[in-house]
Amino acid sequence: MKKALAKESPELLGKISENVESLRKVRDQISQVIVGQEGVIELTLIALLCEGHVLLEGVPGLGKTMLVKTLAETLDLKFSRIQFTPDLMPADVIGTSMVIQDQRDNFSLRFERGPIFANLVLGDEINRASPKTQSALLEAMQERAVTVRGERHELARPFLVLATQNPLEMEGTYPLPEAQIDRFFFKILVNHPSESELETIIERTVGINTPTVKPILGSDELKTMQLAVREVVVPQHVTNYAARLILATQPDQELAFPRIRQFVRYGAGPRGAQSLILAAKARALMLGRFNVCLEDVQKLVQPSLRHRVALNFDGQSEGVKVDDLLNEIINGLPTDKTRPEEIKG
Amino acid sequence: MYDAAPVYRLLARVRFRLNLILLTTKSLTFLTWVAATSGIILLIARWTGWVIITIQTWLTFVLIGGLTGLVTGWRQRLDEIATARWMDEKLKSEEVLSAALVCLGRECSGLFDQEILEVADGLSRKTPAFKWPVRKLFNRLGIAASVILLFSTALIFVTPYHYQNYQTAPLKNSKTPESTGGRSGRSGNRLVIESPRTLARMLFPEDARLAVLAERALREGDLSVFENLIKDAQLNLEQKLAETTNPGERNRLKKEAERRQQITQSLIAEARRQYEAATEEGEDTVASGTGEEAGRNRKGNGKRPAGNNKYGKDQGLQYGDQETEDGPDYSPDGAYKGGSLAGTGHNEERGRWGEVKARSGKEAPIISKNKDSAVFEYILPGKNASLPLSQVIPDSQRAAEAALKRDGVPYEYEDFVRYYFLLLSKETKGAAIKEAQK
Repeated sequence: MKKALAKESPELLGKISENVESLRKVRDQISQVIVGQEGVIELTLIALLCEGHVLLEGVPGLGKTMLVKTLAETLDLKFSRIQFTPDLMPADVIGTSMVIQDQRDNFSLRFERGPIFANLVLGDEINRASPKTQSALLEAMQERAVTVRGERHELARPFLVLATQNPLEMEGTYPLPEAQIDRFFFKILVNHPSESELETIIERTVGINTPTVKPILGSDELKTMQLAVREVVVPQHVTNYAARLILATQPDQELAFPRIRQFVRYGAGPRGAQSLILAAKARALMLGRFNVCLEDVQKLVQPSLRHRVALNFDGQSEGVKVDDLLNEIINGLPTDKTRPEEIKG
Repeated sequence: MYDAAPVYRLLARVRFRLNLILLTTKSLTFLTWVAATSGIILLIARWTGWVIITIQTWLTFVLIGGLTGLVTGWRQRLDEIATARWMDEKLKSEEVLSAALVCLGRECSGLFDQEILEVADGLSRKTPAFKWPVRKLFNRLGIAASVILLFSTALIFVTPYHYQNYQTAPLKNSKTPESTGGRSGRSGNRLVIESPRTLARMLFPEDARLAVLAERALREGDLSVFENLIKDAQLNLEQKLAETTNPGERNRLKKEAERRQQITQSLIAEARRQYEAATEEGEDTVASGTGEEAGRNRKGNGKRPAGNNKYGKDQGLQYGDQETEDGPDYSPDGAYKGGSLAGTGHNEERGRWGEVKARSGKEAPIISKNKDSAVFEYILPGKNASLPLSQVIPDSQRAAEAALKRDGVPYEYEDFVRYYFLLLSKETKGAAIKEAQK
């Protein structure tokens, strides 16, 4: 249970306002390094504020690793990277007990921490690791702690895993099971930059002077912001809208659209609703608002729910995209179900 | 503590207006549907003769429709949260007012509640210019007005007595003299018919001429004429029955014949009994039809000569001159020779309880309502008239007939006007005979 922030504290409110401003600077600074991925940067920051893990999907060379590295530098957080391979073992991720011989020739076992003990962990090509290793990582993500030889080791806070997977090379991979993929807060698609963005990338990276970043926000400020996010007010009808959105993704629900019934095997669950509203709160705060609006929810439907909606065979064979289905829901679902027809418009 | 009054005031004001729009629109929607549906049903019902619904009944339906709409609208009325939601959408305020209500609901216990309320307060202190959702309201208003105008026109100008079924239907709540004190429908096990006219129309629904003659015969207590009329009608019916090959029509005609026979048998028996009883007791009246008319028609006004006046022959009636052989009834001064009892009948007894009475005199022509007997009488122009009646009447009669054709005469007075001219024509014929005798 998270502790609530002390109320009636003008300093705290001032601090939060400063942090919001700092977050904007962080975003701008990262945008200097990662060109043309403003959406990805914003979503990553939202996930960071919500303490949610991110699954980045994109072909190699789009700056995923660079993004995480820059984020860690900007936020003054400890960063580690794990390259997942089929022979990677869980101990390689979480750490292992080593036999240590001291000067008096006494032997003892000491837990040697793995790369997961960092604030920002980049799991490159997570789908290449064996399910055993994947589950070790995902368990750590969920529990924010690891247990080795009966000893529990808390992970650093804030803790954020950014896993990447390549959608093209699926041979020899172990796709993440639905139960595990559901633990990711967001699934962000990293797309190719546009022509002008490519030009900027070339200009910035092949010269002598490459953009550098400096730390702007510390982990303490980040923790404060993470608590502040939960204080953001959500009007009742926005919560209701989010709930109906979630139900609309489930093919056996009344709210489900015809194409959802036709192409979806199962839809988002309560975890999807939680991440949707929490992310909306973070977005509102990042934009300097203290309440969530419908637009916040609508903007975050795709990253929050796209990995929680599974297509059935028909959907996969017909090449249906989950994002298109979610767009249909956003466009078709009324934002207010109780308003009489007479005063609409 | 933060002053939430401006936010609440704004919400209350907007909520009131929105609910007003909602209620009115709902009411108009229901009203339109009910008005249109019941109007169509009403017109069909009138046309087919299923049931006669008056415009008042229709208006009642319309009113009930409107009230139902009000109730429905009231049940869907907006609360503060819905109002805030509507305002947020209109003002594009990113749900600030809705969030402010959440903050006020939890007594500003959240970290950001004060900030949200400040934003909401700033919003409510400005005078927001809303675009009220009145398009649907005006739309419905236009439709409702059109529907009501359309059906009102249809129901007012297409009057019920244009339809055959209305013409043959029994009179209800009529203010005509016949209905004074009368009742319709069933009284216990006995069928009570409210007037001779009703009975006549009931017996001869398809033959207006026979209906008129039967009514007159009933009024004059001339049962033999009445029986002859029924026989005649029965013969006509049988003839029709023989000529008709359509099974449905045959069936209908058979039923009609049975119905008529059933009514007339009991009717005549009862009328005879009453008539004889009244004659034996020396009373001056006999019920003409069902007995219901007794007491109402038995009053004479004491002014009219009874019996053997010139109208006693009733030349206008096919069967009316069978019983009397009396001659003309005028005395040289133009007064009736008969007694003091009123009447237009064929003889002394029957003449006492006739309805329409006529006399010649010196007075100006008047049409009045007799206060004692609640029957109409008219006084014809007397001897001092400059023109003989035979020269005056045809023009007036033509004008009256034209007025009748174009419905210029109130329904209750149509028959009266017809009788008036019928008797006037007899008057002129009587005068012509007298001239010839002289």
